[in-house]
Amino acid sequence: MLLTSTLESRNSELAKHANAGDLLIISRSQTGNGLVHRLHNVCWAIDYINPDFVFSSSSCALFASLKFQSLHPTHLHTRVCGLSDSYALRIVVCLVDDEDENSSLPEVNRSAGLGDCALVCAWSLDEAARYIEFFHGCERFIGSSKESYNDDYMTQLHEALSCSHGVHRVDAATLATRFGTFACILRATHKSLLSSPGLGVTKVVRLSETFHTPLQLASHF
Amino acid sequence: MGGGAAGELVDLTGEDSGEDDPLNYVPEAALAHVRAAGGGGAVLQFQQDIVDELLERDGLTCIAEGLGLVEILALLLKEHTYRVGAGAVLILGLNEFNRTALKVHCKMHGMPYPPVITAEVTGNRREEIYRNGGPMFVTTRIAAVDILREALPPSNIQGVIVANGHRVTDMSQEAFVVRLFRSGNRRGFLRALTDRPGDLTRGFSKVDQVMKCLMTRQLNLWPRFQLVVRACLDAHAPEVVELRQPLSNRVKKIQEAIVQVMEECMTELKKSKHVDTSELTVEAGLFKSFDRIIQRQLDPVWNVVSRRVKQVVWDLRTLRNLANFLLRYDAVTFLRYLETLRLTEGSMSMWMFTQHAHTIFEQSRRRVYALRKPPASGGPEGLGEGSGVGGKRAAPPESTAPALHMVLEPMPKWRLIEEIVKEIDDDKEKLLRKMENLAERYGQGPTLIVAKDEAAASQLTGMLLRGSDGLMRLIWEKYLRQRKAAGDAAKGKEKPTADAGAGGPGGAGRGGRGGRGGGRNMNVAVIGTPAEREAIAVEADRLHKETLRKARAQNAPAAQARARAGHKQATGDLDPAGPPPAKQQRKGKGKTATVGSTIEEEREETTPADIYVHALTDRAAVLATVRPSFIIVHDPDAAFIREIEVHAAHRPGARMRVYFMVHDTSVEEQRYLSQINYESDSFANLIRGKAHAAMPFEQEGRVYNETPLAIAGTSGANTRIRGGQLSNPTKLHVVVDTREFMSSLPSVLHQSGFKVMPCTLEVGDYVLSPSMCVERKSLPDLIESLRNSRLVTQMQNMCRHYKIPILLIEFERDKAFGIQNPADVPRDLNYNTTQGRLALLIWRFPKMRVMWSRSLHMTARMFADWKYAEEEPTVEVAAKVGVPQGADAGERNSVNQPAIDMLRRLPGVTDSNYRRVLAAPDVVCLADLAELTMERMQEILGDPRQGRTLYEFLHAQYPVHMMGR
Repeated sequence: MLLTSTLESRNSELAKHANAGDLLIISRSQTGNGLVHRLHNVCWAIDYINPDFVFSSSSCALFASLKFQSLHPTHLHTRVCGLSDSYALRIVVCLVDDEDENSSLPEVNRSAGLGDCALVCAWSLDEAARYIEFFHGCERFIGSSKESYNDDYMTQLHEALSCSHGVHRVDAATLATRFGTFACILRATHKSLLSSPGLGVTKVVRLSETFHTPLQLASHF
Repeated sequence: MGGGAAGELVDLTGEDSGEDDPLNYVPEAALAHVRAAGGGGAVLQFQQDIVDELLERDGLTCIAEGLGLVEILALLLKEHTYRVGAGAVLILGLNEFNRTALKVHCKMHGMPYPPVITAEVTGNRREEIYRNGGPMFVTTRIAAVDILREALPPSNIQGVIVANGHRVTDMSQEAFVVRLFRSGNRRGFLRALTDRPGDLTRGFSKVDQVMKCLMTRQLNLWPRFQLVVRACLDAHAPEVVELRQPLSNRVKKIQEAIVQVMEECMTELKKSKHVDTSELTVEAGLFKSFDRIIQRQLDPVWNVVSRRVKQVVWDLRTLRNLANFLLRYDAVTFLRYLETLRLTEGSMSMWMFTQHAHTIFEQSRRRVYALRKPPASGGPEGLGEGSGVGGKRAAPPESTAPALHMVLEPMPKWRLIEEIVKEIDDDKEKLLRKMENLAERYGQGPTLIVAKDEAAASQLTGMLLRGSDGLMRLIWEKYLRQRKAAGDAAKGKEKPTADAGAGGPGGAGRGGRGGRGGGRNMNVAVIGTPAEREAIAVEADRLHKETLRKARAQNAPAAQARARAGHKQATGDLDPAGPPPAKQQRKGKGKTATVGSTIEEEREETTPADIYVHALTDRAAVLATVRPSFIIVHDPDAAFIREIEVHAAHRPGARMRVYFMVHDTSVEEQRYLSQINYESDSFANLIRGKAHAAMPFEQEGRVYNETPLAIAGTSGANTRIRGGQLSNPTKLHVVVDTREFMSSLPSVLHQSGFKVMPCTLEVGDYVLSPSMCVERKSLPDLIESLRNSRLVTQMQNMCRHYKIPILLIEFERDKAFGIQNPADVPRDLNYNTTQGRLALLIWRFPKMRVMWSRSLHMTARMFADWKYAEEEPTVEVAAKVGVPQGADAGERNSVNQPAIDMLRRLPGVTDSNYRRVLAAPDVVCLADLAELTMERMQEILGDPRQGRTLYEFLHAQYPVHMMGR
């Protein structure tokens, strides 16, 4: 109880400034969870709720760990089944804290998957805390920023060329230096591709096959 | 080849007729002898033994590299070529170059070349080939898919030949095909070959695993020191002249510096607690296998390995390449490679900030040019040879612009080759005068020069034509031109289009990988002083003007020169390192789609009288085709030396002299020696292992006893035979996308009792039930496709068509489990991380389920779990999902998948418009995109903006020297 009160006092400062809707609601059963100490980017409040974390009226999360799963194999299943249908997005955050994942991980997967939950694995409490924060912030993030996706030339080039297995960044740069433009790389002959340092026969054969074999082969038969 | 074939066969059969009586050499008689023997070229005793051994009993045969894997394969195939109606003989795992070599041997044996079956061959045609039977090359993916589709029932397979036995592992495609074949056919043969003993000893009981996967119990070993082999080869050993070329001063300095940096990196690596230090030596670092050793140690903990250690591992790889390239490429090419490295790796690498890196860059530049004040133009070598550093710093940049003094040091071996060629000419002259016996006739044959790879070979060709200095000059001029072109492009772009600039030169130097190099200062020597760059720019300008002037002066003859100089950016740089002879150039222009050049073509490109230059990498059957009297081995390679021995044994009495060149006290020499030691050690291990190995009786997959009772007895549900995998009645159905057969999951699913049904899927990778569909991502895939938001589109599609879309995140069993080092998890919230993006993805698609799997086997188990209560999927339904109305299902079966993947990744091409590109009549292959105008591009893509993006990406000039600005 002492722990809860210190946590609450630390958090109350932040909570005062936040709207009620922006709060992350944490179940009272989770107050002993180390994860709660690691939430740095979110205001939260503790309440009596069925799920472990509630992000909004339609989304919630459960916390699981592999160790706990192997001790109580049916626990997660029961929890998942007990979730209200009003949550459209249900998440299970699973802490991988067991060296031997082979027995418990499939069970966690199945309980989550067949119980209509999306499973997220975290390898440390910090990572798990970040996931909780991520999910909590998703709605605002999607609302606030348009997804802009812009790469620099070298990344685009590398990405295109790396379709051909084994072509890495330096290879892409070597090709670009040699031939100047992507169009010139496309036009390059087998032989001239071969004379680039670092590109061996295997890579070059793959590349020139990709460039020069017709995109659709059926039309030729 | 056609006409000459009969006559050339005679030479090969010189074994009997030639040696007895060289003077009465009667071709007709020899030919008759060959015919009587059943046709075909000469067969060496040990090669025949190897073949007989395999024919008698299934097994894995491991021969020393260079003893003629392809010849043995040809002999094996001969057994099956003329048996009609006996079923197909699948040949797996033979690469392009071995196939080319095999073509030559097939011709020599007078048998047809087996058909090659890849994904490009349509389904109907494939079935026809299978029906016809006989040997055929099949890619493992197609073999697996067709057996599962029941287009190729196992009972119609006569046998399987695995040509790359060392690649077989439990998860490999080859093992999958063998298992599929054995599950329906226990009478067919299975023969495996390999010439990589080293690969068979690597790892824990590798060879036992290979044998288990191949379901054989017989291991045949044929090292070079085997008695029959020795007797056969030593009797006809060719004359060998070993030449030890000392390294030039500067090269030696660079090499020392590289070794020293490597040592520093090793020390750094040893500090990491994850690495077993016993195997870390610079000597080991010179081999590719070193990467594997390190990777194997670090893989299980890769997520906790610090960024620094990862970088050191990568640096070591770069340095190893540098050590190789130093002796393989000329000074200018090497310098250019260094510059490329600086641009791409510069900000991240560790080694580039060491003191020795300074030496590497400094000395490499010195091999090409030196900078000095115009009045002090003394002896040409004066400054260069001296202890470099002080001299260069002394050149004050503020005085009259320092001029560039060309050093252009040629490769150490070039001069030597020139001498040898002269010597050979003299010797030939002498022999020609006498021309009395067979030995002297043979002595008139051509000269063959073999170099490590295509680049080195084409340089040697150029060197022979123009002399070493002339070639260096040419390469240098070309370098200047490129530098100028890139400089112009960079300058031009800076001002007019801001948006293109942002995509182009701006970000290129740092790359997307982090760009944290801003804070650190690159050594001046690494970048080069401003004065140097200035001088080079001046020189480039001068050259440019000169070319223009020449072109104007003499219009007609200069047409070619102009084509080379001015037209270069447009035509795509056809001639690489120094414009090669006219012949080769002509060929280069005509050649577009053909990949493996045929023997005829290779002959054509030869240069001065009777000298053939060839690369080791695609040597195919070069010895048998060229039949040289003199061989210059430019780069030492154990396998090729043995090939020469085998070739000499084929033509006893034929005079052959081998010049073996090696750089004295170089990395190259060390590599060669270690290579030989490693191989004989491997054989020793294998022999010892074989003596003690206990192969279980059940491991034998083939039933030799022909009585039906024996077969009935073994095909029963005997769970002691490989866990009863051979015939496993199954209820679990899964539809698998044919592209997924590149991975091992289909194999594992099959092993776990699934009925795997291959099919080309438009949506998802695996269909578990009419409502469950899985998109499988390995960790690197996941990170990449989250980053470029391709996964979002894939998920959209899956959500549209399936009730339960599943994202499967699959880790590898022997690699680390985790996305990120737990210590690296940041405190703040950044959605541009993998975890952040994954959270957003889940948020966007609440229907999506995520499946986390530790290994392939766990995936198989979970698939079975999840679909337990579901209906079985059907191929017919799954194939139709997501296919646009009107699209022909058959057509989609044969597309060039890698090219389409690449197309879809180009900027401006999206999932919605890539089909328009496929439909465009003027885009047959990817290379055609390069020829389109912007207007046409916009028309095809149906969106001016996208068209413009794509066009600009294709024609953006890569900035070479942006560090200089």
